[in-house]
Amino acid sequence: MLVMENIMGTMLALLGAALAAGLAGSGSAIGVGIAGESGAGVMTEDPGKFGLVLLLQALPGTQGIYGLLTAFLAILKVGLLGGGGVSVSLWQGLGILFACLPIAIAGYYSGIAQGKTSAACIQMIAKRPEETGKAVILPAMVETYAVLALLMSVILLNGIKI
Amino acid sequence: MTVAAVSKIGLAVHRDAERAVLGALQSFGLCEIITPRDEEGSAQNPGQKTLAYGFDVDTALGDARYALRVLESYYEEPGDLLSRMLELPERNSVAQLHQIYQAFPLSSVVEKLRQKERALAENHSEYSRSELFQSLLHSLLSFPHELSLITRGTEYVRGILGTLPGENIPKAKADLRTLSSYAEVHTYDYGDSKNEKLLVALYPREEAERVGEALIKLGFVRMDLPQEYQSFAESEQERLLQRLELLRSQEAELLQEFQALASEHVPSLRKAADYLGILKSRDEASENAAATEKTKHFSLWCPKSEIPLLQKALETFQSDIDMVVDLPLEEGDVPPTILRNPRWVHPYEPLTNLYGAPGYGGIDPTAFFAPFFFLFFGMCLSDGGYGLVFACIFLWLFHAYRIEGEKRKFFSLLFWGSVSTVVVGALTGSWLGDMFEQFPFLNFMVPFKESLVVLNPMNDPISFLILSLILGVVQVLFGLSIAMVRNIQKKDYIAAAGDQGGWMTLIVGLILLGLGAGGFVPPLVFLLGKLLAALGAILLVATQGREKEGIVRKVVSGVLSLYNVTSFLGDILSYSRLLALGLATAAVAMIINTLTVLVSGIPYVGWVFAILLFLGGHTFSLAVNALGAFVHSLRLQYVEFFSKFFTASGRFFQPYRFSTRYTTVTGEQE
Repeated sequence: MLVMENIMGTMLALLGAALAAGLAGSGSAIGVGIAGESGAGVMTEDPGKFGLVLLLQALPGTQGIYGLLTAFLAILKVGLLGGGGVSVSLWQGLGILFACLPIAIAGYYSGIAQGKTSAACIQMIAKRPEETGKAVILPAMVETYAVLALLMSVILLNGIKI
Repeated sequence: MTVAAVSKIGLAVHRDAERAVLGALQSFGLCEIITPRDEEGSAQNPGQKTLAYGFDVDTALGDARYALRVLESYYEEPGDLLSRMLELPERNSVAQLHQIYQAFPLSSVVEKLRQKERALAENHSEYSRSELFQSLLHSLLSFPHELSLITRGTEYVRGILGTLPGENIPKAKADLRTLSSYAEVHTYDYGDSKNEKLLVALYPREEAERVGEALIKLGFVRMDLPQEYQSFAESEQERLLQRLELLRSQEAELLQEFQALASEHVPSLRKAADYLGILKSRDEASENAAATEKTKHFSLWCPKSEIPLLQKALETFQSDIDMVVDLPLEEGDVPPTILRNPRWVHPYEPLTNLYGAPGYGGIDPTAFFAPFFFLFFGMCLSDGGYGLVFACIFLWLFHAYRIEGEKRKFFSLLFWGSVSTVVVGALTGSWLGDMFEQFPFLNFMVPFKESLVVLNPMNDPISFLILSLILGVVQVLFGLSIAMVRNIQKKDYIAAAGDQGGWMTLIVGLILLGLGAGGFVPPLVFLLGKLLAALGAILLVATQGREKEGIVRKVVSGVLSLYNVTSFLGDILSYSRLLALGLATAAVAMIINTLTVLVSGIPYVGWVFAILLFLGGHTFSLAVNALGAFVHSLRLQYVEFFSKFFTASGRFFQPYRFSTRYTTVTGEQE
């Protein structure tokens, strides 16, 4: 029974890691995709804007990194990367799963929202390339919430003692 | 810090000296020419509008730009890419540019280019036409007669060529047979089309009209084959292929000629275009000035500190000009903003420029946010290894290239950011993440690393979070106190006490209250917190409704304003990103190291993958995290800090100077 519980604990932690990397990554993928479509449109007119467009397209990509980061921290915690042999109780596993949720959820939705903002800002620099500074800040406003979610996930993970 | 004081200057110039004076102003480069509003200026301008150069500058400039547009796509830029991107272009004086322009055969080059462009276009259109006929002939290869039967016909026979939907072919054949027993129908596959077939019908001359009608009913689309095709399809195709070959070689020749022209002319052409651009800018300045029969009148903005230099620059024209300094401002005059900061602040000026110009006479926020940005960038990137790599990149760029102006400022900003990154990295014990612990051959560095560590956010994120929030409180209060000092200077004491004093007291009070409730501070401080919070709230209720009418409204707005405490709370919590981004850098680096160690265990080739993963992974991580560190440190300044005291209500100084594209103009003479 105890062995079963140990396996359940580890599996729940893995579910958390999978959700964090999977959902936040999907959010980023959609976001970067939306921004990329807009960027391609702008570059048909002016291929010289590649650098700026790429910068703005990359901005919604960070949620995926935050998700991956949380996922790694989660599996490090249960000893699946090197280390090994850590026993994880059902409750600890559930805790890790919950700790992964903030970045999974906020990463998914903020990635999409940031992608839309980036797309709009790419349209903006098409007309006013001198306003690049502002165009970079607007998507960063959206990212704040992914950063806060990452913060919460990390603090929660840190709070679970194994 | 305040922006530089500027003076409005009136300058009357005798027309004879106008060209030279405008040249001197442009070389001086520190005056902005005020463009007059509609009622004055060009409309009432008597006499010659533009400066007489003896030729039409606009036409010549148009020609030069046309030639550049055509030739630049064939031009191979010399030198390395980084140098072109980072360094200013070649230096030249106006006199040198003038010489190059004089020697440049602009009109003959333009004429030649027009001819060649036309030849290229004709070549292209003939090529695509021939290709079309080539594929047609290819389909007709098995046509048993000479093509002249279709293109010209004979005394008795006529031919027609076109496409017909495949399913109607039997019907077409039958119909033509009924019209004339001599009719002959050939069908062939044509192009990619599955359904459409190529159809050739031969029939007696007198049946032409009826054959045409019958075919059109079946969906026939006629194609015209030029009369020059007379022989059998195979030999005609042979001839056409030779023609295509010739066209291709002609095109290659033309492109080579373009390339030769480009490498011969582009360098001088660019200088000529720049020279014409300078003349044009002088023309425009002249055109906008108010004028009398003999004189032109310019109004200028010039920084007060530069006026002696301006007087010196115009010394040689003393008999032709009349200059009045410190003219009174008229209605509608908006003096431009020039940032004037000590040297150590210069790298941060581009960030103020990005946000917008401070109003004239307003506060320049650059020096206030510079230390915070320096620190925050370091906290967000927070890795000694990344900092060192970043610093080395910029040191190398500064060493290898002559970087000037705004680019230099911006690169210095990033360089100083990397210095702060190294310091923060050392204090938090992150060197490419946990590189020293992960790789056994680096383990000897661990004691040294540990000796520098003050706080490791990976182990103790809460302390680092508190530090981030404390920095937030400090910056928010600092922003409020700047606004407060400003209000006191303006003698707006109510605003200083209410808008800023009220909030500062309330925030400090609430923090002490919170600490007291948590039992972190002695009861006396807790009591002080209560008093301060109450005092702050009273100040706010008393002052925030001061613009409303009637006592009830005043009180209600005052009480409602307390709700804004949430926005201050949000501002301060926003600084928690300093921890999150710092942790993200350290953790991503750690993950890359862990994976590297894992991969290195693969037999035989593991070390190759390990090296690739280590280098690629850390390069990617540095790029992403540096971008994040920059954007988020900047956001904290723009959103959380600037909103407390700064409005970008001004416009930047746009001095009249050489704004050339391809050369750096050093002055009138060498």
